[in-house]
Amino acid sequence: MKHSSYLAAFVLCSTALTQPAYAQSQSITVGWYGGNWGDAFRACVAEPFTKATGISVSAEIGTSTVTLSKLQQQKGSPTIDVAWMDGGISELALAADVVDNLDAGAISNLSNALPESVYKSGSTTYAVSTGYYSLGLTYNTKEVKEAPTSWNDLWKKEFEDTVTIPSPSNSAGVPFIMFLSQIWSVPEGDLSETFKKIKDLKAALFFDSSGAATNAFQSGEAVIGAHFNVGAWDMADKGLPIGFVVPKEGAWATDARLHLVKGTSKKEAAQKFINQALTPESSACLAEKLYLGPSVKGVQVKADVARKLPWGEKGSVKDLKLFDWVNINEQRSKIVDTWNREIARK
Amino acid sequence: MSTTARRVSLLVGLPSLFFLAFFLAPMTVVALASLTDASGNLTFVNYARILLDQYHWDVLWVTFRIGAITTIACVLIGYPLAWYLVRIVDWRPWRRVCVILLIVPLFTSNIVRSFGWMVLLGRNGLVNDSLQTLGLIERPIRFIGIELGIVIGLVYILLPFIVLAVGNSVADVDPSLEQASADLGARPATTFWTVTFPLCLPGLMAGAVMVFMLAVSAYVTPALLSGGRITVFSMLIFQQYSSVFDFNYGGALSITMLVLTLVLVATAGRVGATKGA
Amino acid sequence: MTAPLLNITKLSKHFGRQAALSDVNLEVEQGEFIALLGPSGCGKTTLLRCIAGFLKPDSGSIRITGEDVTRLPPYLRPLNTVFQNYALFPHMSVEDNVAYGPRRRGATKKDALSQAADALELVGLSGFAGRFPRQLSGGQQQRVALARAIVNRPKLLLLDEPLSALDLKLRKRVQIELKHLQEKLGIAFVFVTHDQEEALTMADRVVVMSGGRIEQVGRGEDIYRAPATRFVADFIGEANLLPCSILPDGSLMTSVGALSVRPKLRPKGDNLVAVLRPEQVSLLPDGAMEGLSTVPAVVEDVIHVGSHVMVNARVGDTVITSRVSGQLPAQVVKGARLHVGFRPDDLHLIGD
Repeated sequence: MKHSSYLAAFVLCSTALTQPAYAQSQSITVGWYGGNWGDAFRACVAEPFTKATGISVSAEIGTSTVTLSKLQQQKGSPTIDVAWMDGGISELALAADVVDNLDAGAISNLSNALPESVYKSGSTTYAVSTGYYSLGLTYNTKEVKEAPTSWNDLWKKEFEDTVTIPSPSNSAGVPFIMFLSQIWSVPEGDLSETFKKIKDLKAALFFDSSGAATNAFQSGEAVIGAHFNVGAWDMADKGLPIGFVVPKEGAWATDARLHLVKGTSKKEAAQKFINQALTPESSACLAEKLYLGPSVKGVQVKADVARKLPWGEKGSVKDLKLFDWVNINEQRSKIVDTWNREIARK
Repeated sequence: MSTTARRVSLLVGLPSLFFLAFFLAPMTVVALASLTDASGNLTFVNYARILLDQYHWDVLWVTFRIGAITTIACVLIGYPLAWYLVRIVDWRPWRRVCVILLIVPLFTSNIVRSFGWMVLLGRNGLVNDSLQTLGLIERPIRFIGIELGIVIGLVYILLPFIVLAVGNSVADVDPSLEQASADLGARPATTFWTVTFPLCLPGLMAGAVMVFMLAVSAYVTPALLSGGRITVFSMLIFQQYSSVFDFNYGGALSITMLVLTLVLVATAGRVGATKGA
Repeated sequence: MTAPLLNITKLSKHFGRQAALSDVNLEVEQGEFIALLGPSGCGKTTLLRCIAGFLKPDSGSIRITGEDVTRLPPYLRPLNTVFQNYALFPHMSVEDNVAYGPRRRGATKKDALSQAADALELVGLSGFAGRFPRQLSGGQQQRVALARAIVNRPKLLLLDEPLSALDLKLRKRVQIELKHLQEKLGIAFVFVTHDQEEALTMADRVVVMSGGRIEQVGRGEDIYRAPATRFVADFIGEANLLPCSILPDGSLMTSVGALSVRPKLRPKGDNLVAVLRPEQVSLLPDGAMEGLSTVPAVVEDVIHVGSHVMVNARVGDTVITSRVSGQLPAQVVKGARLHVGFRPDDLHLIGD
C-alpha cells in the first residue's frame, strides 16, 4: 500500500518535471533507408521540417522490409511515427494494418500530389508517393557506341556474357519479369514463354542488390542491362562512362512512399512532416539529389536533372509502367520458384 | 559458501539466459513457424513441400558440395600454412605479422571482401588480366557465376578459422612425442603421419567442421559471387524471408538446413572420433 | 682392443653465448650403468640430448661402438631413450606404444605385438596392453616408457630423469627394479639425475657435471671419499670445507688452526681446501682423545633429523658440522663448550 503510493508520487513528480521539457523539444521518429537515400530525405524533408516547426527528427534506418517488420512488432505502441516504404511493401503494410489514413484536412499538401501518387484502399488513403524511380536500360557508353532503344537489344549477340538484370531477390526482380511478359504479350497465367527467353539471355550476372549492379557496371563485368535511374546516374555523376535510357517499350517503375504509422502518439507532428514532404521544394530537392521523379504537381527542375528523371529526357509519369503491387505480390511466390528452377541453376 | 553458490549460479545463469534469449527463443519461433500454415494451424505441409521435391535436394547437393570443396581446400591450404607459422617461422615479429595478416580480414565485412573478389575475378579483373598478359588464356575465364568463384571467395573468408584451429593444435603437440618417435626409428615423414598428424586431428576436425558449417550457411559470398546463376540453400531461405514473405516455408527451409548440417557434422565427428580414439 | 660402447670426445655445445657443454670427454663400456649428476643447468640433459641426436653439438664427436654418429639423425642411432615426461603417444594403446619401435624397424605387426608383450611382461604390465596412457598411473606410465625403450634391445639406453615425477617411496622401489632390470638385460644405461642419492645408489660410475664441464667421473664411494674439486665436495653429500695451506715444514695450517698433520696427497696450488665429512667429526665433551686432532669449540645448533643429529660447532670464524648417530651425550647442548676431533687421515685435500 505504502509502496504504491510512493510509486504514484514518484511518477507524478517525474511526469511534472519532464512534461514541459518534453513540449519544448518535441521530436518524431521517421523510418527511412540508409545511404544516400537517407541523406537526401534528411536534407530535403527533415531539415526544412525542423526549421519550420521546431520539431526534431530522429531517423530509424532500415530497408522497407525491415521497417515493415519493425512496425509489425511494435503494433499498438509504435516508436516510429512516419515511415518510408517502397511500393510493394506499402501494400503489405496496409494488409498488416500498421498504417493510418492520411487525412487531406490535416495534410493540406495532399492536394498538391499527382492523383496517381495518392494510394487509396476504399476510403482509406494509406500512402503517398514522394517520388518515382525506374528500372531502365543502363549501358557502358565506351563499349556500347549506339545507345540501345529496346529491351530486346539485351539479347543481341554482341552483348553475350555482359548483360545484367535483377534476380527475384531484388525488389525489382519479380515486377521486371511481369514487365517483360507484358511487352512480349505473354499471358499472365502462364509465364513459361518469358522464362524461356530469359533462359536464352547470356547474362553475366543476375543482381540481387542495387549495389551489386553498380559494382558490375563499375568493374566492367556488365556492359549493358537493367539498372535503376538513381544508381545509374549516380555512377555517371561520378564520371563513369554510363548511360541510361528509357527504351521504346517504356520502363518499369515504382516509388518511395510515405506512411503515417497507426497508433502514433505524435500524429499531429507526423502529419506535418508528411505535409512538408509534399511541398514542391522538398519534391524538387529529392529530384535533384536522387533523380526521383516528382510526385508533386508543377515541380520545376534544372534541365540536367530533368533528363535523369525516371521517365527519361522527354517523358512524364505517364510513360512509367507502374504495376499493381497487389497483383505482383500474388504472383511473387510462383515467379520466384520458377526462376529458381529455370534460371538460377546450371 | 552461499556467496560461492550465488557466484556460480550467476556465472552459469547469465550465459544460459543469454543462450535462451538470443539463440533458443528465435530458433523456437522459426521452428514453430515451420510447423504451421499461414492461418496458424499445425501442419507438415512446409516440410513435405521441401522434402518431396527433387529441386530442393538438388540445391542441397550443390550447397553441401560447395561446402565440402571449400572445407577440403581450406584444410589443404590451411594445414601447411598453420604448420609454417607454428613450426617453421622462428622469427617472432614475422610470425606476428603473418597472424595479423590472417586475422585482419576478419574485421572487414564479408560484403566488402566479396565485392573485392568480384573485381579480382571479373571479366576485366586482375586475375583474367594477368592470365591474358601472360598469354595463358585468350578469352577471359568466367569465374563469377560458377562454383569455383564461390569456392574461391569462401576459402579466402574461412581460411583463418582453420589456420587458427590447426595452429593451436600443432603448437600443442609435445615435441618430445616427435622426438620419441624419431628415437624409436621413425623417419620424419613416418613421424608426421603416425604421431603429429593424428594428434592434430581433433583441431583439424574442429576447424573443418567450423569451416563447413560457415560455408554451407554462407549467404553474402555465394549471393554475390554466384552472379545469381547458382542457388545455394541459404539463398532460398533469404528469398522467403526478404522477398516472398512466406515465413512458414522459410522456417521449414531453415530447420531442414540446420538438421541436415548437424547430422552431417555429427557423422563426420563420429568417424573422426573412432579414428582418433 | 675393442672400441668402447660410447665414446665422447671434446664435445662442445653453445646456446647463443651460453656454453652448455665445453670439452666433454666420456667413455661408457658395454653393460655399464652411468649416472650424469649435477644441478639444473649443469649440461647433463644437453649431453644426453646430444647423444640421442636431438641436439647437434658445435664440435667434438660421438662414437657408438667405434662408428661416428655425431651427424646422424636420431632415427639412425642404435640407442633408445626414456623421456622425463615419458612421451607416450596419447593416441595409441599401451601395446601400440611399445610395438612402435619394432614396427619402425620392419617387424610385422604380429611380431611387433609379440615383442611388445614380452617387453611389457618384463616391466610387469602384462595386463595393461589394451589401455591408453591416460588411463595409467604415473608409475605405470613410467614402466610403459621403459618397455617401449627396451623392446628393441638397444645396446645403450638413455634415461632423462625418468623417476623425477614419482613420489619418494615409489621412486626408491623403482630404483631397485631398474637396477635389476639393467643387470638382467645387460644394456648400458646413461641416466640423468639431479638426485645424488639416486646416482650413488644405482650407478656403476657417476659423472658429476657443473657449468657444462665434467667435474669428476668415478665410483660413487670414491667420489664421496675423495672429491676431485671443491664443487664435487660441496655438491655430493655434506662437507666441512676448511680453507688451508701447507706450511714450509710440511704441516697443515687450516682455518681452525695449525694441525700437526702431514697430508699424504699434496695438491698443487696455495689455496687448498680440506674436506671433512660430518660423520668424520667427533664431539668430545671431555676434551682430547687418543689419535684425534682436536680443537675447542662452542655448540651453536643441535638439529635432530630423525635417525641422527647434526651439531654445528663454532671454532673461531669457522662452523664445523658433526653428524652423531646413536645417543647424543647429555652435555651437548646449545652454548656448551667442548672439543671437536677428527682423524688426521680423514682430511682430504683439494687444490685449486
